[in-house]
Amino acid sequence: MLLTFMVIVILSAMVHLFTVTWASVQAHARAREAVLHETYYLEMNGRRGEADFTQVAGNPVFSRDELTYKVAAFQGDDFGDIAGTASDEPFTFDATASDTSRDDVFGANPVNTSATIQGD
Amino acid sequence: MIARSRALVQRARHGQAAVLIALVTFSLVIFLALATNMGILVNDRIRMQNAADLGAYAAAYKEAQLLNVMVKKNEEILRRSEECRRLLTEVVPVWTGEVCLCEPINYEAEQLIDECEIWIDDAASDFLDAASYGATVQPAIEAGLKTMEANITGLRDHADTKFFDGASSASQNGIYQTQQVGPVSSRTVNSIANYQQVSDTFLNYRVLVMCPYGPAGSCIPWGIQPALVREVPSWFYKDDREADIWVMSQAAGTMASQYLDIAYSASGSDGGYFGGSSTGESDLMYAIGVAKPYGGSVGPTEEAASPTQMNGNAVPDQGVYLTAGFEYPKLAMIERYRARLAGTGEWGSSGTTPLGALQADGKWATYVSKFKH
Repeated sequence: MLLTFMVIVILSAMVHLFTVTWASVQAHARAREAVLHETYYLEMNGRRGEADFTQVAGNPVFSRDELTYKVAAFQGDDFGDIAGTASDEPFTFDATASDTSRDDVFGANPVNTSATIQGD
Repeated sequence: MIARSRALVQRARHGQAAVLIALVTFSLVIFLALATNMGILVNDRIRMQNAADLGAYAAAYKEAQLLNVMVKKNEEILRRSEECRRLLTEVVPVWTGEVCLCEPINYEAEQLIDECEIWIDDAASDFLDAASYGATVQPAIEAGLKTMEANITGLRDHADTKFFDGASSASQNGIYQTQQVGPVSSRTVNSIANYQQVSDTFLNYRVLVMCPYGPAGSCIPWGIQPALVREVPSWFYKDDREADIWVMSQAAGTMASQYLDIAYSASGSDGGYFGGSSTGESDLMYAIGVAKPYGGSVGPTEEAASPTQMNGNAVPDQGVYLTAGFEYPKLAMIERYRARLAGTGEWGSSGTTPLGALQADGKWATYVSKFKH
């Protein structure tokens, strides 16, 4: 009985660790995508479309309308606006994301991650 | 006697169970530890790759940002050139020669052109300042390193975390020369790319020639003629017409923990798992970013009708008087830059360079000549 119990507990723990690892991978990828592409590729790629992430600072660098990266630090009326202005101001794009492990024997463990792009 | 024997057998069986339990427990704990270790490895690997990716993108973004600043400064040169042309063609459509020399010259107009030349050259100096190595490459690399550090603390202090600067070396500076002709040619600017200044932008005007052909040698109008052509250095274009500025990051580090790292080397910084070796080298992850024109991959120099017309004149060697009402062809570096993440992955050892990485990966090989740093 004891041996069976130990086997079950340890195997369950291993499964739980794998789900934590998977949650970490998901959260890191989500934060990275949030800071680079907002929701575009997250939604494109399946059931995790309603991803749990927050863009903390900065504007998305990816345009959902144009389906490409925006003009860098360029303020104008539209993309390619000749009359716009360019800036070399410092920039920061931050995003956080989270995911949780499976809620089984050991409960759901949250994994919180962040990603940032910045420059002076 | 029999009862005693049974007791001995049962005691022996109890011992067997204990040994079995110990072995099974040990094995399960080992598996548990390996599962934990794998979690650490996977987590570290994705964090390092994220750091390399975001660092490369940040550097490319900064590069694109600074290229956009250069574009605006280049446009300022164009704007000043156009303003000078406007003054010579619209404000005073036909300059009257005040000297009775039968020569197509007006000193007031010539003085205006002299002033324009200085005015345009000031803007060209601003462009060159913005295009210098220190104003472009260094801020981009700093942005990349800062981003990598923000995503994984400690990477920046690692000797192998870097951006490749030059196609063949990680520390080769100054291989990019700004080519110039005209009045700013005395300066040497190490830049992210080769820029050439247009020198044959022509300013001209129409002049009412006055000749002493009148009665008693009096000075009378003798027809409208074009003045002598004045060449004025103006804006810049990229001679090679290779627009893309590539950056390559390398994130180097170790596992967050050496827990169960069977290849850990105390004498080195070895993680031993993802891309590193067990000889004390770092674990390395690479990423490539690119700053490129928004509208495509060809630029920043937009093709004029022909190379001989890069000066914006409709007809080479002709002056501004022919350009009234003429819309300039698209000129040098009128473009908007963006950054994008171009590729990620592992490319072998710490000796990898952007050139080697691109050559190793066949799909990038054709872009090697465009690699800037």
